[in-house]
Formats: sequence, C-alpha cells, structure tokens
Amino acid sequence: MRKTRALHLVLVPVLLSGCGGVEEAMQRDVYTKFEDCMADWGKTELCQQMQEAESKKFAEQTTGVQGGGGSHMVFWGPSYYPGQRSVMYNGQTYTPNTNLAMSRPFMVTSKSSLAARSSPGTARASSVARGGFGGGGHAASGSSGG
Amino acid sequence: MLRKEFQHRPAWQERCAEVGFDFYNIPSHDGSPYWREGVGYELTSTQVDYLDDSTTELHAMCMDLVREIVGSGNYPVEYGLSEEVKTVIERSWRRGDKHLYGRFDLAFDGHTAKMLEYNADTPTGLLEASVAQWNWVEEVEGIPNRDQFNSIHEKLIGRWGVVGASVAVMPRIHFAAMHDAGREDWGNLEYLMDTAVQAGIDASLLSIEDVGWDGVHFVDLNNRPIVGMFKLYPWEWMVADGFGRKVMDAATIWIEPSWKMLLSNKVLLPLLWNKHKGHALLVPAQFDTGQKPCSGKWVHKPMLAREGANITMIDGGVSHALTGSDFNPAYDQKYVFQEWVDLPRFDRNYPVVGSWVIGDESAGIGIREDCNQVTGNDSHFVPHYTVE
Repeated sequence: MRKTRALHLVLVPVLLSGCGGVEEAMQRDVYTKFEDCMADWGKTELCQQMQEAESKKFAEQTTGVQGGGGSHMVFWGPSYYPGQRSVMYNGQTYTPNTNLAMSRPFMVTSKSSLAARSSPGTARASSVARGGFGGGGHAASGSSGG
Repeated sequence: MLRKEFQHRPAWQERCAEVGFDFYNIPSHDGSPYWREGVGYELTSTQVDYLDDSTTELHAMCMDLVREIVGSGNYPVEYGLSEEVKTVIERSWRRGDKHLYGRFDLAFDGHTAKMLEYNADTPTGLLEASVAQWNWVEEVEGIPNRDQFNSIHEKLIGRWGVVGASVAVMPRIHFAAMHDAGREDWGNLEYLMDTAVQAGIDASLLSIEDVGWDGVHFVDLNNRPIVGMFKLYPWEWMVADGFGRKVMDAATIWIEPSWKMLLSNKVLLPLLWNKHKGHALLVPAQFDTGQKPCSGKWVHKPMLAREGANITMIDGGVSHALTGSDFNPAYDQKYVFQEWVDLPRFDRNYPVVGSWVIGDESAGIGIREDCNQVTGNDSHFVPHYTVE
C-alpha cells in the first residue's frame, strides 16, 4: 500500500537533564564480562562491547602500560551523571541495585563544565529568573496536550 | 471501515511499556485501559487514499490562511491577540520558523471525512499512533493484512532534520513540558526527543517551569542559552505567562512556531468555513456573538480548550450538556458554534480519526473511540490495519 512503510525503530538512550546538567562530566561503568553489565543494568541495549581502539586506550589509562599490556575484552555500561547512577532509555528509568563494574566508573566527558561557568550567559547566573512559564497550565490544571 | 475483534497478544502490556508507552493503562471512568487491545479498525486502501488526500488538502488550506492573515496584517479580532503577540507571530512566520507536526481530528464514516478540529500546537497521542499500533499490526494473530496507514516515525525523523537545520548547524534542542503534566505528555515528549536524537540532534529535557531568563536569553538549568526549544505547552499559555513578553526579546526558535497560534485556536473553524463555504471536508461554523443558533443542531466549543472540555450541544436553540465533556472554568472564555456532526457508531463506540501531518505531509492516523460523542479524556486508542 503506497501510504505505508515499515518502521525501523532504532531507539537510543537519552538522559534526563536534571539539576546536574547536560554539559557536566559523565561517566560509564566498565565491565570485564557482559553478564556483569546485564546483571547491573538488565537491558542488552545498555551494555556494549568497547571498540578495539577504545579498549586499548582504556587499558593504557588504567594500567599505565603503552598498548595496554595485551588484549582486553571490556564492556561499557551506559553514560550517566556522577552521583546519579541512573539512565532513562525509551521512556523507562534504569537504576541498578548492584554494582559489578570494575573499580571506579570511567569519566567519558568533561568538555565544557568549566567553560560554561565562564561563559557570558553564566556570568549572569546570579540574576537568572525561573518559573516564568507554567502558570497557564497550573491554572487549567490539566494536560498541555490535546 | 470495520471494527473487528482479535485475540490479545501475549504480554501486550509489556510490549506497550517497552517502547515507552507505559501510559497504555490510564484508566477511563469504567476502569478500562486507554489502549484497547483485542480490537482493530479495518480500512481499505481507497479509504486510506481518501484520508491521505483529505489531510493534505486541509493542511494546505490552513497554511494558506496563515499566509493570508500574516501577509495582510489583518488579524481577525476574534483571536484576541495583542499587538506584541501579533509581532511575535509575524516575526516567526517571516523568519520561516519550521513546523514539526499537527493532528486533524476527523469524523470519518468510511466514505466522507469532516474536520472537527486541528490540534496544531500541542497534539498528543503520537507514540501510540506511531509505534505502539505498528507493533500491534506486526504481532497480532489472525489479521488479514499486516499493513497500516502509518509512516509517522520515519517522517518525524526526516522532518527533525529540516527543523534542526533551521535552528543551528549543530542543533541542540531542549524539550520541555509542565512538570506535573503526567505520563501521557511526558511519554509523548520523550518519544519526540528520541526521534530528534535519531535525526542527529543534541537533545535535552527539562520542565517548562525550570526555563530561566538571564536578561538576554532563555536559559536551561546550566544557564546555557536555549537556542531551540520544543515545548509541549500551548502558545496561548506561554504568551500569558510571566515570561510571555520575553518571547519577543529572545532569539530562541520555538517548535511549534508561534504562527501556529493562528491554527491551534478554534477561531480557525469559522475562518476556514467562511473562506471555503460548502467545502466537503469542512463543517459549518460561526463565532459566538451572544446569540444561539435558533434552528438546527450545533456544538458550542471554547476557542481554546483541551480534552473535550466545556462542550455543549445546542438543539433548536436549547443548550444540552454532553456526557464526556467536563466543565473547566479556565477555558470558559470565548466560544464558537460548529454544526453537529454525527460520528459513525461501531459496536456502541464512536471513533474519531486523528490524522497526522508531519511537516507538510500527511503521515498516518490514530483512532480514538469513546462511548460518548465527545472524544475526551475517557477515550480509548484503537489500532488499525489496512486491506486492499
């Protein structure tokens, strides 16, 4: 039928920007076994094998040995914000009750938290006003959608 | 168009929840869940073609109307727009701010469709129309043809590419809804964010109440300027809020754009009717100037309202309350009259076809049915399939 095509649903993890913010450092748990990652996060899509180059770099950084001291099979858990070991995937929140990861979580981004703090926008941080939207909805006390 | 019964899919609740449609079980007054498993509407390819063409035509008529109003500067007084809001609309239109989506609600009996209204600003029911009912058509047993009028998902991703490119070269779009809007709104918002991410957009989520103003920009919780924002929050509330006047000053690109205010208001109904009087897809409509129509059967609808609120029926000059419509004083302002349209009835249910527009293209349908002729918060989503 000409109006129809099959869906290719490639849902990806998304992260809630809470007070911690999107631009702050993020971290990922690292696992030696896929099963450990699954035991923590419970979802295949949240656990992935490191690329070879990533794995080598990770080994170098953690062992201090050039080349990483041999081959490694390592798995990533999902990225999350420090202090909030929780991710939202496909509308559902995953918060592990266990922690079978190797040692400490691995920092994966820290790109602009400092830069953001010195940006012109943030120089006015003390004068940022909030709560200026939302009044109409609370008056109607219902859904915004229709 | 037929309404048929099917076996429930095994673990259908889990199938709904795992795509983020975890509000499938919102109960109606009788306790039945919002998603109606075990039933499906059958449409023929001829009916699909008709709905597709009708939706395209209606959308084109709406866009023409906006072009005409903004181009002439002659904003019908019934909109009640301030000069500042008109300026916001005009700037948005002339800048070419891109629109993402909208949903026409149609009365469709299998032969002819009539436009009941256009949810042009904050339509919901998207995730269930796009993904949940697609899963149903792929999985349900005993279906005569596994096909559906539904390319919403692919078109959304494609359209986000256009919308994102209009925001920035490396677009970052914030997504916001009211903090306490409930799972239905947030589930739709998360789905839209997901499709944006798949289109290569850097996306983040926050409550509309958390949007900040730093004196120059709207900012997020990191005090970073908000360049592009998708808001599941109606324009008429935005411009009435404390930050409403700042919308004029900020460079933020809003999705949906502010010119959608001309379409998401039921002022649209009499305007379209007056412009295209007698058009087969339109229903006679007029402004409420304080006089009830003396003859015939009419619906009295607030110009700005949601979920079927404050709707009454006028029959022979006499007002009647309608089951399924609750009164909300917040919406008790200006009204329009629209001639009564009998919805088709299938097994004691009245379906309304929600026909989606993504960008400027018709993209598929979602059907909600209700045991009342007002399709409100108590309606149920019913999947559909198509046959040759």
